[in-house]
Amino acid sequence: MLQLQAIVKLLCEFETLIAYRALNIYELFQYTAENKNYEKLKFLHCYIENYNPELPFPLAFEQALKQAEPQMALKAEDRKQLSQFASVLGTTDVDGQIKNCRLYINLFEKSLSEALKITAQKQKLYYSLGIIAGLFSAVMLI
Amino acid sequence: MTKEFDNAIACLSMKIKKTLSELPQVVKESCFEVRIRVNAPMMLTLNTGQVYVTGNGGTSRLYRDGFTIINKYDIGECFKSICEYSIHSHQQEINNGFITLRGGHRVGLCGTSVIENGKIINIKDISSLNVRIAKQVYKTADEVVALLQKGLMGTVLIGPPSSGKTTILRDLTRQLSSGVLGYPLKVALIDERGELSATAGGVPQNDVGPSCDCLSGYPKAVGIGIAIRTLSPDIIIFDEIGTSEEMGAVNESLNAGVTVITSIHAGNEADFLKKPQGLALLQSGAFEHFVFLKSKDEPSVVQKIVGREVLALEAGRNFGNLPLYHLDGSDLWKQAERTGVTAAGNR
Repeated sequence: MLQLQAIVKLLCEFETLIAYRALNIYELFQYTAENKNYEKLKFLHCYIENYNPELPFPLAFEQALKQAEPQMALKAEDRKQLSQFASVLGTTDVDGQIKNCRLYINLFEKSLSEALKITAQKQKLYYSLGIIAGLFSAVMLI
Repeated sequence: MTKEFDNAIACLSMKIKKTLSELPQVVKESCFEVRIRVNAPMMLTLNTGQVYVTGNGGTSRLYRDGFTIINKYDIGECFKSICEYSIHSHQQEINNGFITLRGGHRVGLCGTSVIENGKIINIKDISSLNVRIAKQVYKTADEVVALLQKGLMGTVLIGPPSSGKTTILRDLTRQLSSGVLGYPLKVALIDERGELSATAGGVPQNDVGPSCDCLSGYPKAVGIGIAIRTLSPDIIIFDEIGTSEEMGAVNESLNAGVTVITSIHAGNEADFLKKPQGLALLQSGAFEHFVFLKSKDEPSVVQKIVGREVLALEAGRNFGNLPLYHLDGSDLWKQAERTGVTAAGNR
């Protein structure tokens, strides 16, 4: 969930950096990789560490994502969404990029709210289970 | 030159780069343009003319079947690579029709323009790329420098396309900024199309000297205004004056006491005087020296240098009683006559 929050923040920051500074992809990754807010997003560091200007970006991003996977706990669908976002990153003009960022911010926010809902449900469940277990233990002791 | 060639093709797609890297050293050394067209073999412009790239490390003047053909995918990959996979960062350059690479090389883009409100907002379906290998030519501005050593005055370089106007301006920027006049000059370089400084990633790729401020990508008229207000330059240099806004900005710099050096397209003196822009430059009083260059066959060679007054008389021969006034109101004709240059029989 923290990673999803970081991804939403990251996309918002990408949107701003593209709109007002027109940074290229390498600069976007370099700038955000240095930010502590995104230290959980290991793929940023993996991309910068293995940067090769001759490698097409979508391919380089996939490699970075794959390398960072063991240190991240992304669900398959979130990972897929990230790949899809990266496949459009840098391929259009500024307006197109801003729309792309907005689209994926909305999608990741949806994932985040679902994750929050599930967490809340699970919290309730564990709380109820705890009470039942406590009552059961008390009955057994009596 | 081989290093420059390798440097210029580094941005191209793997397939194209591999094909070009197999070329013999001598070809790389004499190459100054690589043309990549869809469904055609690559073409090189060498000192000796144009040749096709055969694909096996060779070149040929004649087209034959079996040459390595470039397809749409290759061009697309090249385009993305040239943009560093960040088209949004190069939008302005794309709209201008070319992208400047590190090293000062330039890639011209051909395709289908997308127009909105009469302005190009994008180029789609890129069909050909023209990689121009940058080479800064030193000492081409020596004659103009010698002229300015007698007094720093507004100067216009006039010549047909490919006559070396930009090359001379670039060298002039370097020399003036390096203190060739015996004292350091604050030079403001207004580089709207990135041709003079070839700024990439914020760093001028051409040698523009140690005391030059580059305003890269600024529309010339805006850049001149900003330079006057914020940089307090001794001299402003920019390429290809053309619009009335730019002329207005030159007048502004004249009022601010800043010397301007620029260039304009014109085949010869008569051609220059036929142009409204030419006459406007003459009338403004901002320029004292008019430097005419030879043709593209002899690039960067000065044909003649004409003073403002002499050129004003020439304009009078062609245009009769055309009012040629300084901005300060003095009559250029009278001034020319006072200095002994007469237009007898022409008025």
